[in-house]
Amino acid sequence: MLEKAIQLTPLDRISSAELKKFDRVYIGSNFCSNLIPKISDIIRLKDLGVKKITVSTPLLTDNDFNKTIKLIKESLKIISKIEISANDIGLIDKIKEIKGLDILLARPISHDWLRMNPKSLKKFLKRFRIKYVETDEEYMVKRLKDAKINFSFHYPLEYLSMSRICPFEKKINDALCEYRCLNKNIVELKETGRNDVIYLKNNAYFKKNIPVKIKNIKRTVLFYYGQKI
Amino acid sequence: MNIQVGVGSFKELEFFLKEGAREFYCGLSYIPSHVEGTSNFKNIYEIIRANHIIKKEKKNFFFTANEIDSSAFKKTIDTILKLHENGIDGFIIKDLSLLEEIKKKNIRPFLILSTLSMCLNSKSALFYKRNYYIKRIALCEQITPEESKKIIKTAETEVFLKHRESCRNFNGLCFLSCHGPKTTPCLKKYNETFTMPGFSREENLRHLYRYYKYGTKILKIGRSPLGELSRVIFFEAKNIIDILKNSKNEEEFLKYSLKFTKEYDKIYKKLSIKYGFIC
Repeated sequence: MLEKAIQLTPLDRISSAELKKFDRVYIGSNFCSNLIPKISDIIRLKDLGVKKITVSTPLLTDNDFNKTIKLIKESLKIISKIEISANDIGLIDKIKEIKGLDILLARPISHDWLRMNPKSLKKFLKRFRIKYVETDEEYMVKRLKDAKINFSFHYPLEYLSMSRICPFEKKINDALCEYRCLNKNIVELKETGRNDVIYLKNNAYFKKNIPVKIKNIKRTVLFYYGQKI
Repeated sequence: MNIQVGVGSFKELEFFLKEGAREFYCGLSYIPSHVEGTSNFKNIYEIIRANHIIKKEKKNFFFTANEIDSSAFKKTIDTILKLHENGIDGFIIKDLSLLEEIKKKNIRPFLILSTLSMCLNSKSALFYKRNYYIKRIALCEQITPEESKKIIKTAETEVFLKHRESCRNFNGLCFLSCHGPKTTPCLKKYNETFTMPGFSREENLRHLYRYYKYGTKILKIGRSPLGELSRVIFFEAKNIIDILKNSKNEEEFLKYSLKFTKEYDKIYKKLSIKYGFIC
């Protein structure tokens, strides 16, 4: 059965009634290191009755790496089974032996890995104990439909690019953050003289996509940006 | 600090050899290597011939194969094996599966982990070093020297002249519709006033000073689709290295390098008008 999940950042406020519409909650960000959740965010979700939690992590500097390992260890004291959506190869390699963890290969690194030859890709997925590959590319799922790879499919925003300098704060996202992206959940950006729109959420740029029904997609993940659910 | 420069013809190679570049790298049009429209040697035999010329000067030569394309995988590995047999020093690689295949072939060339690999921490650097014998890491353009300190202690490192050649977003993971210097979406204006943010020139120059102090040994000049542009960047890099070596401290370096790079802006401006790229 297709699992339905929602992706939240620690900044998002959403009612427990709305959360109940989903089987699983993702918390954190695969793009911004200032949105790595705190243990209090995991506790808050648990208190809201969320049973299945996925922690989304971004690419990590050494400083963020240690913070993330600490978060994972603390989370496992609260919840016996947790998923980590990871795109940092050092992190994936480090956590692959930890019991009680399921690992998902996160965007945007998954964009790269999916372009490997399928035989190598499958070997790496096995070696790193990766449960699902996270994607937002219908084309790639279709291309690999016979490769026996399971996907979680993110929508309605397909990743395009991400910035180290926060587009809201205009400074590097390595330290104190005023979370100015909080009340501007999504910004439509239109190039002067053109009609195409790209969407800015937090520190990443996206285009729109729609969820697709393909047998390898085991889960859909709604990227929450304040929209009506 | 020495300069590594991308070359795509014998004319370019001759020029940069004469001007004192220490290392060279090149690509082939049928092996994916990220930069669109860049000049490349025509075939593998030209690269082997270029390698002989470089070796006579006791300098180093690398081949870049730093994009993933499963359809070109076999051709890429065959090319790497052939070039290795013919004495090329090493390879610039991004793809894990390519690294795995090189390891399986039981060859140990000098491997440089491409800046596109997004190696942001020392644990990732160690992963590549232990599993794939990576000798050098091209530092990700989007991290700071302070964040790179542990990586610099883990492996040899190289950096780009970032105030001239770097992407505003994470370049290895950017899927905006970018087709070379004439289209660069991250430099365009959106909603009349918004531009995608990046490091300022001052920040990039401060980064360079600190990378130098922390032990980064190679300053890398990319393979521009415009040969004339590579030459200008090369001369600017050479002069900046002189300023680095002669500055008493970071502030002095910044003062002189900022003044100096502003002079170079005039040349870039002329080139941008001549060739129509966004500057």
